Amino acid sequence: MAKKRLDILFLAVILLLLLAGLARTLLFPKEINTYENRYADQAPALSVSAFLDGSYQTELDAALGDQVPFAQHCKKLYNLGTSALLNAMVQPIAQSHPDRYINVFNLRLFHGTHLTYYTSTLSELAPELDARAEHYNQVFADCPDTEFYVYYIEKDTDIDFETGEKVGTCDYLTSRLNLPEDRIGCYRIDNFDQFSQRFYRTDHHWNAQGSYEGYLQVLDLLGVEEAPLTHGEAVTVSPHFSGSKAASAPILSEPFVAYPVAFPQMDITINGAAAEDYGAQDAWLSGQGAGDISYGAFYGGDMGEIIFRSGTQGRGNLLVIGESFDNAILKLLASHFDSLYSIDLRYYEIYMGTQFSLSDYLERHQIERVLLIGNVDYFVSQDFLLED
Amino acid sequence: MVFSSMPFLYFLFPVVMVAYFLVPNRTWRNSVLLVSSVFFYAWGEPKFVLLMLAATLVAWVGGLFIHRFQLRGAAGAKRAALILTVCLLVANLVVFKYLNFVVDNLNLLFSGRLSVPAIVLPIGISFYTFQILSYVIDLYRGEVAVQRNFFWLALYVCFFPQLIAGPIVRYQTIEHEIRHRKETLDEVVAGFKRFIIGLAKKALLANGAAVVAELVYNSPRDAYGTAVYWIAALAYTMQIYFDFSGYSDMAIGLGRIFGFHFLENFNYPYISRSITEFWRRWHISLSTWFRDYIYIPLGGNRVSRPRWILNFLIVWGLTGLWHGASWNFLLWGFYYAALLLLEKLWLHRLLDKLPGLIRWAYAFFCVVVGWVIFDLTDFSRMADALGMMFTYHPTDWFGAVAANADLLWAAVWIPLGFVCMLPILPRLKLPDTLWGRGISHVLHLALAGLCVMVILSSSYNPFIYFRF
Repeated sequence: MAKKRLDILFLAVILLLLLAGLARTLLFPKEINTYENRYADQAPALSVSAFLDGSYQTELDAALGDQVPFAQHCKKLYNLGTSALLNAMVQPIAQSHPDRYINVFNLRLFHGTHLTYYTSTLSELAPELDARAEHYNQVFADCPDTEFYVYYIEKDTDIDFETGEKVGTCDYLTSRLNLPEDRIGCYRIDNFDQFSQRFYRTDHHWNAQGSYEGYLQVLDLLGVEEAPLTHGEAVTVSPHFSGSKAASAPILSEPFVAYPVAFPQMDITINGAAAEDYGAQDAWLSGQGAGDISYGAFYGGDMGEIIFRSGTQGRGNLLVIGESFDNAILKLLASHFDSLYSIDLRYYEIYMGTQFSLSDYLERHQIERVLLIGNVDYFVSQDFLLED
Repeated sequence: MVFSSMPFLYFLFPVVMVAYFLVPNRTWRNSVLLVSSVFFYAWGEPKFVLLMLAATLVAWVGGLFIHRFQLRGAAGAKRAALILTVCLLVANLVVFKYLNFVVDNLNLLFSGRLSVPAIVLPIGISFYTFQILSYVIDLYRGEVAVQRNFFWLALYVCFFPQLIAGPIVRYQTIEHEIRHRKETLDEVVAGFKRFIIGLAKKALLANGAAVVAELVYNSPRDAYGTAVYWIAALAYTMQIYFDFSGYSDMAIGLGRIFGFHFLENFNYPYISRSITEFWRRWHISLSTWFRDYIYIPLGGNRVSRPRWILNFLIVWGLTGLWHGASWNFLLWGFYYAALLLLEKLWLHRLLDKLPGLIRWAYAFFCVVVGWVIFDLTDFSRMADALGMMFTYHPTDWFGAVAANADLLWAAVWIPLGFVCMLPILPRLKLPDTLWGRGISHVLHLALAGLCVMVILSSSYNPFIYFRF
């Protein structure tokens, strides 16, 4: 009898788990897959045409993959386990050849420590860069009263660390822009040592040192004569930070180090609503940060529009059109202007409910200077076209 | 739909389980299985459901005629009914599986311009055609009774556990169980456990080994040296065994849950000490099908030696082509025909005198080489792989790992595959006490959880350039 009860319990556990997955998917779906940083797939509506063309099947498969109970924990655990095992096998090999790339975790491991993207080639990028340069030149011509600045941030895609050979994207792009030389800047990475000091090992962004240097260079580019904000001693905010590059290899982690900065008081508006702060630097530095540490959690995430008003007059307004790299320097830059407007073209329409128009925006906010800032993706992706 | 997919595990399987055990009698339960089987097939091939049902209808009508002529003692008409039914079923298979291949090769041979529309291969057509044929032929031979109810014959053909990847279940195996079977708690539990073992073979071992084989075979010829090509061949050897036998385990387990008992399809084939033994242990339902329905009717070995050799070549040529419409499968069939002939004519006397380990090494070596022929449909790729295996090319081990570190998974999956291909685990049976049973349940649940974790992870798709 006891054996029978045990058997029934065994079957009941399996069936309940399976049925719970179905019920969750169909009746109580979650909206966001936080682990994979995207909207969770939902169960599709059943129709004969969708079933016949197979789209129903594909979408239900994807929905189950996101919705069944513990799905995200399972994926996290799997990635942790497999990456730990693979990393244990790779490390001795990587350590014996520190100056060579090893293709692993869908990226390239260099020095046994840094996950790096594949190096681009200029021949692949040139058509997109030509088109973007033409597009920008047209924008410059259409807004003759505005001063435009371009700042290109080199990263691991711009140099082959094995050979030291550079792609030359920044020089190629800037040579095609109808801007004076002193309005174009390039954050250069010329060797692995520079890269390793200025970028995270496991994330695609520049780190505290890299972004602070970028801030200084941008100030110089913009001709700001005020003294830059200074930072205090580097602080380890968290000993375990696994950035975006380690998405499928969470075993790889590093300390998240940041600089404390005494920011002046600013009024901040995010996506049209007043906000207490952008990012949570003070909270993290004082040990009050919530959730897992990440670049976005610390410096601030990507938003459609962020406005920083320092309450001063006579220092002018700056419009920054960029992507996530500038998140780390927005507050630093904002302290040098009356108002700083930050636009991320990927999200502007989503959050603001209207398409971004550069000329209208410049006029509405009396902006005289515009900074176009980003890494190679920013200058080739269609998401960052300045529609007008 | 495949068993190791989320829609099967979290949708069809639990729904069918609940519906099946909730309805009251055999007719209703069979109806649940039939409807769910048609839905299972339609999930991947909505339009080809009709083709499968049409083939079943042909067999059902053909069967009724064979039975009627049998009763009337009209042997000639009975034979004609059999031939007509078999021809229709084989023609269906030929058109959907081989016509494009035949036309392409005729065009190549005669520089012709014959054109036929590209035909999509319906999933499982080889399996269900062979099942239907076995029913018709066995009926003709008087080995099974006619099935007058079309729906029960359709259930035999469409029954989802064995529909798309076997084993090839003969009608006589489940003839009685279609109407008179008994589901018991013990059988359901055993079925679940067998299913979990099969799922683990597929999701863990086969998919793990597949990473290594695919990595090497999808790389340029010179990317790796001889040693890595042998590793890839071993990885594929593990992949195909755990994939196919895992699927058979899942099918057998599902059958048991619903009260059906399918025959075993694999019996630790990689411990074989000869190729003859290998084919007694590998895909047993296919090799016995060819033996009973092709080889023996051709005269088997009770014919002259040249005719016997011809019979052998026919059977193994067909066995090869059954696996796919491509020359490599035909070559693979003839490869085994040659090995089996060699063994039967001369080699078995020598093998009998050799130590078991050497006989095993010989058989395993031949099987591994055979899988390279089987896996690589592109002849130039196959020639490259075999060339790399049999002529020495040094391996730049760092370069091989640096090109893609996933190659290192070979160090995990191949040794694990060797352990699991041996009949070790069944010997570690827990005692049938309360504790033994409880531990067994927990271990199977843990294994199922591990499989689900791996299957779920295939949908891992992080998006880094977006934010919420």
